[in-house]
Amino acid sequence: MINYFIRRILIIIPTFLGVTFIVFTITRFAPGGPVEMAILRYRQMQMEGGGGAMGSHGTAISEEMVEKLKKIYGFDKPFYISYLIWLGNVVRFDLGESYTYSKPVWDVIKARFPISLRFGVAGFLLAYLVCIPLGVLKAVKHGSTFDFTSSALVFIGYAIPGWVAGIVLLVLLGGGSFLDIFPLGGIHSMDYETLSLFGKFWDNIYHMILPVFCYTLGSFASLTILMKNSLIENLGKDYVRTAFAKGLSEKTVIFKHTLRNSLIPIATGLGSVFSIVISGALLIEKVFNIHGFGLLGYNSILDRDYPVMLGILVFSSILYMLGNIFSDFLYCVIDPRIRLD
Amino acid sequence: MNKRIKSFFSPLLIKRIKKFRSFKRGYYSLLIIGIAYLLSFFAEFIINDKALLVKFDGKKFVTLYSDVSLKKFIFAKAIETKENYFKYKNIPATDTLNLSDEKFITLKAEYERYDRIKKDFDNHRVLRKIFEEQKRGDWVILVPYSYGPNENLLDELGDRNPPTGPDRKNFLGTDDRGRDVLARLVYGFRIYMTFSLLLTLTSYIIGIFFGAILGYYGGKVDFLGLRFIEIWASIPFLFTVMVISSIMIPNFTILIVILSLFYWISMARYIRAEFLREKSNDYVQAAVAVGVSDRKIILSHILPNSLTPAISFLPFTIISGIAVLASLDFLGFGLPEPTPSWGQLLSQGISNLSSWWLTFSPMAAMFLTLMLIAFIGEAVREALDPKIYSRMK
Amino acid sequence: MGKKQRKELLKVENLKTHFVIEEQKAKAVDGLDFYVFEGEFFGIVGESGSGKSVTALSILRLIPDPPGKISSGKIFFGDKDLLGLSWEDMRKIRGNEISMIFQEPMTSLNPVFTVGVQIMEPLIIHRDMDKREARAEAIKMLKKVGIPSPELRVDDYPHQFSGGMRQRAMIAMALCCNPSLLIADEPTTALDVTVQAQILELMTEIKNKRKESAIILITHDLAVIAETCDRVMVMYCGKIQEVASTVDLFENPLHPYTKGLMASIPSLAKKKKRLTTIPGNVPGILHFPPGCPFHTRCKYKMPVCEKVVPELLKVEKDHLVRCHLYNGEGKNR
Repeated sequence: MINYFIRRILIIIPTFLGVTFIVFTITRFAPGGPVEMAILRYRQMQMEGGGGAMGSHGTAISEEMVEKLKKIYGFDKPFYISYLIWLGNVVRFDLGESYTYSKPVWDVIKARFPISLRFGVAGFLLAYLVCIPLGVLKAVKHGSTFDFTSSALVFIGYAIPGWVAGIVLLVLLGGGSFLDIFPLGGIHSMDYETLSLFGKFWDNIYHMILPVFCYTLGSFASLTILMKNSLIENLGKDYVRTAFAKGLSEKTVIFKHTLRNSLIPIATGLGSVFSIVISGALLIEKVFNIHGFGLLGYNSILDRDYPVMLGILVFSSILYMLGNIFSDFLYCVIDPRIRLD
Repeated sequence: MNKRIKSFFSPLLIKRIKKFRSFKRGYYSLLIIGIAYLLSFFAEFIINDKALLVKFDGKKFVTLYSDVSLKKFIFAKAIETKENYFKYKNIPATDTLNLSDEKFITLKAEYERYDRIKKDFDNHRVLRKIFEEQKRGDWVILVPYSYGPNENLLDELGDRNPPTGPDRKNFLGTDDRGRDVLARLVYGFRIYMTFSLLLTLTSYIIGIFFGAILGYYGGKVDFLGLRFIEIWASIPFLFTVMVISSIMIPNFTILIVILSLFYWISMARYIRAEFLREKSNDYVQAAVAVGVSDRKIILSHILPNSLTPAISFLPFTIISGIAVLASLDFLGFGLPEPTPSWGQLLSQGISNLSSWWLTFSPMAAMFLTLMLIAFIGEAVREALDPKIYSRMK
Repeated sequence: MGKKQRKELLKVENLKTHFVIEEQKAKAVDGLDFYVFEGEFFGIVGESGSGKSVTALSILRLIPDPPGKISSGKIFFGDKDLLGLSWEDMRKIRGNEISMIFQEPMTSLNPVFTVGVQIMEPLIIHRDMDKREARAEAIKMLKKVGIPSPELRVDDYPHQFSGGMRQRAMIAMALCCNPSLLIADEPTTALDVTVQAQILELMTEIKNKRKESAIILITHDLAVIAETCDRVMVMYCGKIQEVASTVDLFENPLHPYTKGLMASIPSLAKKKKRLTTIPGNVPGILHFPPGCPFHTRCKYKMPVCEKVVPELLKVEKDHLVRCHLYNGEGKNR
């Protein structure tokens, strides 16, 4: 068992190396890199500053200048050497400095991550709080009108991705074309600093309602159906018959014997909270203009801010793998039969 | 071959198909989506800025898919009449140009006529109007909804700025570049469905191939393969696709290739598990003992019995293919402009929140499509599921 | 032995249980009449698909619905008709007055609870014990059924037990409330031969210790019956074919099916070259033949067998058989 987890942790290393190496290489050979961007900026500056006299056709930038820029951005060495240098820094928790924010990447990510986590965890908790009881109820009342009508909800949840629902909600309730009940996005109101303590608290909640709803919607359908099917499957098991034969009431059989077994596949999904926060965040953060981890990654791609891009990659792949290990761990805790090796 | 077909349509399969058809909701959803997808290949006949048929100077042109021959004809005519006109006008022999000279008038009229047509022949709606004005027996048969997905309607919107709301001409309004939303939705449906089906196909082929090899050979192959899958699955998929896409502006094919690189993983896992299970069955052991080749065992013995998860996941894979393309398009890392795209409409929707049709139209299209496919998926799963739900009562 | 006036503990009258399979009605149990005396070791024997397990589940009303349903009949336990009881009253009987052991010890225990917790459950609900008392009782029961160091094993999970030990745990669970009827549905089928013998030994031991309570043992193996039971009922296609005391049945089997079953018991005493088997297979549950269901495999088949279902005839006192051979002319043999 411990061997298993050690192996799982060890496998992070090759994965990590593989992913970062691929992306690092891409960034080095892609056109429009930071050196070119810097040259472009330099030219623009000169055009504006120097007036018409200097450059009719772009100022020639000396070779010397280009070399200097390359050195600044670490493009003066072969890419594999740069990669090794970068890797050496990463091991020392130094992810370099962001081109756009002119701050250490680590600081940028540290500032953004809690914001994503807040939305992600709230959405995730809400999804579990809604979907588990709903799934159980649907299983217990399988075939009833309730089951049938609530299925409609599930299908709607399945057919509208969370972020699409987000846009629709903004149009409907965010002052787009109809009602103006909720804010357009962000995490605070403009006058946040002037609010009272309770006012601040409410302001946070107020800004969270729509995004969290969308997060929940994203996992609503699959989680509910998973819960229902898992419970139904377990209700047909032999041990359920034994439990009934012992004289247990239906309630005890369902909520004690069956529920615990059917929660096994659900609970293992808890480990994926990180990856949901990471991947789900991007779209919803974009829709609601939440300056979190996902939007940071998105902007880093647009801005070609390679240090941030690679930093996000490092951070999210490690988190993702830790999440998977956590899932396996939960699996072991809940199901005594599991002996991973 | 015949035998294989026969074994493929086993009584079990026929029973399952029957069972599937008994789930009315799923069955009708399959019919609707199937017919809609088929019809979408004839979308040009219904929604198109190009006319169906043009009669011009006694000649008929089928312009539905390409109006090149019409274009050439018009150009040739325009050049010819222009030359004739200018030649006549500049004849030195005539001392003074008799403006009431009949020949001159005809030539001038001819020249003007073709010149006018040349200016606007691209827009077949305008062409029709010109023909009507000129009353020369030429006509244009337009398709029922004569707006194209990539056609810019700025000229026809007059002083209204796009995006314009739904009206009698553009049923779902126009987008922020003055293109007809309905046309973009319909062509988007065709593109999204095709994209997702192809993505599903390629990722299934890769996934089934890898899964079959891992499951069948087991041992070291399986161990190494699983580690590889583990590593591959740990790559933050959406982010990586965006990074790649930002660097090499992808087209339809490239995007399918990039996405297939990530989409095969879950299928490989399921097929591997199925193969591991099937492999231990007597019939496989018997085939191995008799000396049937690995390839044959995999293809004709185990594979047909292992496809159940592949089939039951099919609709859901298609759904996620559509959803992921919409997300990438929305973020601007999907198909290049001016491809008609739901995701791109949604991204316009969020920049133009007061133009609700930009959000609602693609949302409704996506919702309907995904829901119908989900219904199919539900029915497929029920049909493949041998379990009877029962409770103690 | 059977001479004394004994009290009936369980009396089943015209029990019919059917299943709906592929929109067809399968009569798994079709008009069953039998009784079990207090303190009796009663055997039900038959091939798989004969309806014996369904009979057992019907008594406890544990037929999965759908697809199954008890369509008619009466099951008297003491003076109560079990089929007429409310779900709640039935619940109070299960595991308390009537308990059951199942065929698959591997899957019949809940994998996520310790064996101890599962044995404690009936004690807590039926005997109003608190957790500590129940635990002590569970350890005692585990010891009784022969689990070594029960005070340690009580906290084990089922997967840590071997198959035989799990079945012992199941027996402990079934017996902990001291039921007056224990139904054992093929308790040894899934186990190794040596373990089978141990479990049967344990059951006989239990039987001898608890004089006034009865056991119904369901098996497909006549040899098991011969070792343990007082009285036997032979079932085929959802119907009783023969009922007799074990001694009677083995000395004087009447029904051709019973004879066939006997002949297929391997025996060292009789020197035979090979085991006889009954030709043919048990008809599928949806395709029970008309008339006497055994006529498709019977070597004494008469024309009447194909058309008329024979009555259950009393040939001797306490010996009943359902066969046309003992009706009319055949009666004289």
